[in-house]
Amino acid sequence: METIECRREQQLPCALIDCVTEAVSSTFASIYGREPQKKDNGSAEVVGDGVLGIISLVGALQCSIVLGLPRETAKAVTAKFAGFEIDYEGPDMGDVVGELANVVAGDAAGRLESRGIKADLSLPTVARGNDVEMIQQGNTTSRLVHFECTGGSFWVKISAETQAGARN
Amino acid sequence: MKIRAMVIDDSRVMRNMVMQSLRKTRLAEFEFVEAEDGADALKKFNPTELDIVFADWNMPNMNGIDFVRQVRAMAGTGHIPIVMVTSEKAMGKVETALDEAGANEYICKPFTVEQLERKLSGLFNQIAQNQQKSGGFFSKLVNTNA
Repeated sequence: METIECRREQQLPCALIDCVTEAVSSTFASIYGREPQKKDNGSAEVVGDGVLGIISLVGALQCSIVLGLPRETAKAVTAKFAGFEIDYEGPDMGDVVGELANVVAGDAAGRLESRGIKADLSLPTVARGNDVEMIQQGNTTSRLVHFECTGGSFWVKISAETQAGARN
Repeated sequence: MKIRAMVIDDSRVMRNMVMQSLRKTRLAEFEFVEAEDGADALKKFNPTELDIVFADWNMPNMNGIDFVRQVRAMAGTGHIPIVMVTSEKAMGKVETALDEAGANEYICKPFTVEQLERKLSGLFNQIAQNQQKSGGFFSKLVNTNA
């Protein structure tokens, strides 16, 4: 099993960023029939009124993946994914966004494994509300990647322990 | 062909998606038993009343792979195909499910109706043969009694 090394302190491993962004592209391509476009939107991560799907990978690396979907994107993507309309305010919205986060993380874990990095998935957690902010802990660093798909814009935040805080 | 299928997933929406997709295939006419996790599925599992099981991997209480191991440890369950329907895509997970735990097929989420048909047609042929055999067995009993 390979232990991931950061390119340099305070940066995330390239393999992790590549695998997660490829997983997002692949997952949304299978839902919409075309890959989402990556966008340069700086570091703004607040979704306003929206839903966050949160999942962790544990093993050769400790990281978390947060899928941030603004309300209208969440409604469009979950309807397309499930094949029927999902009530934004209802419990099924949490179910589907959690499943989406799970699919992205499962795909990323498969890609990491093919690079010799084994990781297990946690169960997903979902948060819904206004301006929900994920607070980063001391030894972690993050990368935010914005996307635009047919259903609207969304982002993915990838966080992992930095080299200084990495567990072996 | 009528099929009694168990669908195990902690997500009610995913269970509905699996059931709807199976109904859209031309594989069989389905009757479903739903379970929320592996522990719930074990309580509801009756090998004489099921033709096939569809199980998610990541679930609270008991995950899908532990459910498969427990079912395969029971006598008289080998004829019931178990299909993993999961977002776990790592080859190591696929091998664990198929080679070690005893699952019969592995389907990654998200899936299409066409993918389900392609992956499941062999298993459904096997179920049809099993049903014919047991039908033949019961027919013989009826003929003998007559």
